[in-house]
Amino acid sequence: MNIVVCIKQVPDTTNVRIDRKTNNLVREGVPSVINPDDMRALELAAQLKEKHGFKVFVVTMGPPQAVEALKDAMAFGLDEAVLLSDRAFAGADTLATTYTLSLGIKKLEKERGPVKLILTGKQAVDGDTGQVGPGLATRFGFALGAYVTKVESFNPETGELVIIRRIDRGFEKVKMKLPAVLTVTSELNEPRYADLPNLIRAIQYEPLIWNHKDIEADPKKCGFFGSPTRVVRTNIPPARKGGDIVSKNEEPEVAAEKLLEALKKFEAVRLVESLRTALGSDE
Amino acid sequence: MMAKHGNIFVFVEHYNGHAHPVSWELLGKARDLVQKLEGSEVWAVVLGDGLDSVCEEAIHRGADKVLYVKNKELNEYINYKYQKALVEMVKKYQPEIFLIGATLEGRELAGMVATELQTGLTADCTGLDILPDKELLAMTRPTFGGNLMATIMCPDHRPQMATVRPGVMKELPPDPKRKGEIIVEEYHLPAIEKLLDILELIPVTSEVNLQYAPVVVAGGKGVGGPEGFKILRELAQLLGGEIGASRAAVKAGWISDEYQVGQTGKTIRPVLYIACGISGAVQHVVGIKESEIIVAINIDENAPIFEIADIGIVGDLHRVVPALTKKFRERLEKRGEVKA
Amino acid sequence: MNRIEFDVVVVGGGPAGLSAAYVLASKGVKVAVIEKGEYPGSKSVMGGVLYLNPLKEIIPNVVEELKSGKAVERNVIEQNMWLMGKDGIVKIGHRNERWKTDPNAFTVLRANFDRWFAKKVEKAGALVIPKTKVEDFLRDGDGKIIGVRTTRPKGDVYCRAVVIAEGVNPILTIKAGLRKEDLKPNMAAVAVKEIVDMPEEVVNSTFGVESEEGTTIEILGSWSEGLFGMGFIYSNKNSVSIGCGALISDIREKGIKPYKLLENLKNHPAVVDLLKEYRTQTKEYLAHLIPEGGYYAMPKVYGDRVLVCGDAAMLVNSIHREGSNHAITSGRFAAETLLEALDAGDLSEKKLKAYEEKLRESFILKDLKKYRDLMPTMEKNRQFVEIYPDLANDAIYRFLHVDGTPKWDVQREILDMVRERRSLASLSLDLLKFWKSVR
Ligand SMILES: Cc1cc2nc3c(=O)[nH]c(=O)nc-3n(C[C@H](O)[C@H](O)[C@H](O)COP(=O)(O)OP(=O)(O)OC[C@H]3O[C@@H](n4cnc5c(N)ncnc54)[C@H](O)[C@@H]3O)c2cc1C
Ligand SMILES: Cc1cc2nc3c(=O)[nH]c(=O)nc-3n(C[C@H](O)[C@H](O)[C@H](O)COP(=O)(O)OP(=O)(O)OC[C@H]3O[C@@H](n4cnc5c(N)ncnc54)[C@H](O)[C@@H]3O)c2cc1C
Ligand SMILES: Nc1ncnc2c1ncn2[C@@H]1O[C@H](COP(=O)(O)O)[C@@H](O)[C@H]1O
Repeated sequence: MNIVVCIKQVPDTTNVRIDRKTNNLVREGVPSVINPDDMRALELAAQLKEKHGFKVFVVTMGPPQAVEALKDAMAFGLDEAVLLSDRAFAGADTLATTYTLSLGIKKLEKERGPVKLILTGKQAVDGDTGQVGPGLATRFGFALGAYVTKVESFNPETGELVIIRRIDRGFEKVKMKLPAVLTVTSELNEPRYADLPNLIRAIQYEPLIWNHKDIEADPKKCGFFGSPTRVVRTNIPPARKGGDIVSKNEEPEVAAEKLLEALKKFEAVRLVESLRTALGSDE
Repeated sequence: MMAKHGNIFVFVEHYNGHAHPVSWELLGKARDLVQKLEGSEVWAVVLGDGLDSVCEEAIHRGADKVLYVKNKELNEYINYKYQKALVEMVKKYQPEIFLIGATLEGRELAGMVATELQTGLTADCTGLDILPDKELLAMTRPTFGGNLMATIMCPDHRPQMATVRPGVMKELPPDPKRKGEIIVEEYHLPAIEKLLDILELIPVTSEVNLQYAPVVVAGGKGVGGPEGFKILRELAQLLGGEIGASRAAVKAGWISDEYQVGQTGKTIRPVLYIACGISGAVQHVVGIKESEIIVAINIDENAPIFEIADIGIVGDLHRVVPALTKKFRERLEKRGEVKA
Repeated sequence: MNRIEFDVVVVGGGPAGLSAAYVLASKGVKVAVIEKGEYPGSKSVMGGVLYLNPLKEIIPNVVEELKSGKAVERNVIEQNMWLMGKDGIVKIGHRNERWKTDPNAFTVLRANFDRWFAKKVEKAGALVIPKTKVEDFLRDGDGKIIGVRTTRPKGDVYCRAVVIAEGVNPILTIKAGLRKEDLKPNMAAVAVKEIVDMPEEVVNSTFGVESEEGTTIEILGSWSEGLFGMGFIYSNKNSVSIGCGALISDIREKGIKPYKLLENLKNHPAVVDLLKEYRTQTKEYLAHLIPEGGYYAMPKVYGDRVLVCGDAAMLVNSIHREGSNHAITSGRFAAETLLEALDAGDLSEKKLKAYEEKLRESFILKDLKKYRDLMPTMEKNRQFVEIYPDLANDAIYRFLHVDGTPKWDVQREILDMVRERRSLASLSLDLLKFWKSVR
């Protein structure tokens, strides 16, 4: 049985700067890293491989320099890595991304045997969409466990799997069966510090590189032309302007009184019952 | 009679017979949008059974019609079942726009539905508008952790889909007099393989409800220790709100990380945010900058928080906050007496 | 389990280590460079001016390769020395057309240069292992070095010889028994540096050069608040490096923060005029140590199966800001010594002593020896930084400032000024001291 981990190479957002003149992100000199959530997916795959002997493949769609991310990923002791790279793939939104990724995974299945588990990160820090995992599950018709924080149990014979996943109201314990797609969160595990033999292997490893012909993709469904959505504008969110300091080092009672007076001037206080009552006009 | 456009679908997320507030926010926004789409209507889509009151409220909150997809099996959210039902409804009724709350469930569901429909989906929007000439939905969303806003359109595919961040759009106050039609779809799930079972719901241990609190009283390093949060909590509770915290306070171990607000914590949009002893680092401010009113209490008049606060008080929070609580309490009690 | 084995392990992917690995790998030796940073150069700091000479010795067509590999910033065609007084500068400089056609030095940003060099080293056949720190040696029963231990799980690496190129912090050098004690505060300077963004055309006009060309400025004087230290401003492609360094012992004694010194430098009116509004466009802020101990601070540079090169061997001539070139040359010497030793199958201390001889015969040790007394002299004679820069400025100002005073009187005024601040006797003594220490 095979596992595929989808990873994305992203700019290290802690280093991202914005060019105030062009409204664009300054990517120059910003190091690229594996999307943090994806590191957790790699760790999970590595653990499953160690425990059950599955084969693990890493797949990314991206520019040629994304081989660096794949090499880093191989340090988790995985089997093979594939870069889906082609001019035709550039400018993809999530629909076109999952199209390309799914064909890449299908080619892997054809050549290396069935894929029963696909792992992705919860969301990528650059796009922040979190749509690739659900999209892949739909394309493959697999069960989807999104926002996984824990794998409680896994039975390799039956393919049964119990996971804990985050939902808005808390967590949900879910039983599912392979084949499945899991999108994982940072709570899932701590990625390992690779051992030296695996690191050396990773440095020397050359990923497979497939273009649209290799995966038999229709260029009209890939990249920019295959993307229903269009980014029409980007801008920096307008800065919020401050108001007045109404009280400076005065007695607390005076300060509190002034604050209440100042609050009265804001329409929005009516939206909250307690404020409406407390600040209501003294008739 | 053919309308020029399809309608706007709003997915109503619910549990235990109650709708998630974001659904009403979306109805509010949809009412806005529909005015710029000649001939279109706002449809609320409710999945499940025994949800008559939710359907009613959807009308009071701005829906022209409610598409009540009736099936007991849909009372509980199960992703692939919801996906099937929604895809079928979209295929049948051909909406122009489909809005879903960007809760965790909503985001996963929208991703599945959009893929099956082979249409575009814009995640976690904070702004929606209709372009007047093209009559297209312009969806604005933060990317790169809120550093950049992108405006996205989906010109050639239908429906135009978006998930929308909770707490961003304004809900309309319920209007019991509003009239609308409930279309009941007796829905049968196709014979599909069972993909998953929900074994158990594990609620979050504490009552942290930051994202939906109308008032948040937050503390930072200036609070000085875990006890300091007591006075903040008193004020918050009095006003029907929650407490929040800066990362510095969380890191110091004074309060658990569920309360953290900011880039690596929660993004919130309360009506009133009171920042006590918080310097106002950018990473903190990104999480609160969309609050309606920001009040800052800080001893340092040069603290950057004052650059974004609508109302500033220079003073020691340990003295100002209790005074504030006292004032509010007096007022609330007085009004209470007057009423009684 | 298979052991990880190499002929040679190089600790540290700076210029010294990369140069050693390059020469060894080019000759077919199985070599690994182990670097603790994210990638070679990721944490490295240098002014920096890179002299080409040592690279030319090992890489053919190096100038073309450096340029096409975007490893270097600008070809240095002009070098300046500023003596900075409180409100004036005495400038001495030299510009030469010959450098345009026959480059002698480039300004560099180490992150780019080291990464380029590491790629060359990989192409030559060596393995560069980043994000991995060497923490100790592996030794056999007799205590002989047989490899290194890294912080990675399963991280032992066996080898026949180790090249220590760990930079200024001599942790492994000490563990190898080649150095008795840690660096003393008077053996190293703390250097701080900022890279400020400046568009390419502005760099060109500011420094009066064409796009590919650059200038350097070394600065001595008032900014250092009486500490003995050197400041610098170098022009990069579309940025400027500005920094300064001072002895740790001085900094501690005076209780001054290094970044305060850099602020002094940046706030000098002449620097404000030079960098204009770009002065505040800091892109990166870096701090690092520079070995200053020179000749007297050197460890034993060879041992059984081990050699030390670059900063780890304290091979820095700070007066001429030569460090990376010494590092590269010493790396080459280490590699050449090891090639002979590997051939002879003898990696003993006796055989490896040849490395020290190579250093001795070269400019490296000759220069270090020549300057060996300069630092101690400067340290003991604060007048060189406390008095002379201001004095020179005031004297020259008086000389050039025309206000109707007859020149004879001006000269007398200047002489008085000099006498007031430093007696003529001590002045000549100072000259003598300086002369002796660089002689
Ligand atoms: C990648 C990254 C992500 C981050 N994410 C977040 C995030 O999500 N949320 C977040 O909050 N931070 C985040 N931070 C940290 C952020 O940069 C700040 O360090 C943090 O917000 C500071 O918290 P603070 O304002 O409580 O503390 P400080 O900056 O120490 O400010 C304390 C303030 O309290 C005032 N004060 C002290 N005593 C009193 C008193 N008695 N009365 C009134 N005022 C008083 C002081 O004047 C001062 O202004 C992040 C940082 C990084 C690098
Ligand atoms: C501000 C400043 C300005 C300078 N300006 C100039 C200049 O203009 N011209 C010039 O020629 N020189 C200059 N120098 C000096 C020059 O930078 C050094 O002489 C040169 O970098 C020495 O090279 P190296 O390879 O010996 O050491 P380094 O460049 O310090 O490299 C050592 C490497 O070893 C790694 N390392 C250390 N310990 C371990 C370990 N245990 N395991 C694995 N890896 C390890 C480090 O991460 C580092 O990458 C300057 C220095 C400074 C600080
Ligand atoms: N180009 C890509 N190649 C491979 N995997 C991707 C790509 N983009 C996104 N993913 C995966 O999908 C997850 C969610 O990404 P996103 O939907 O873009 O937020 C990421 O964490 C990755 O695991």
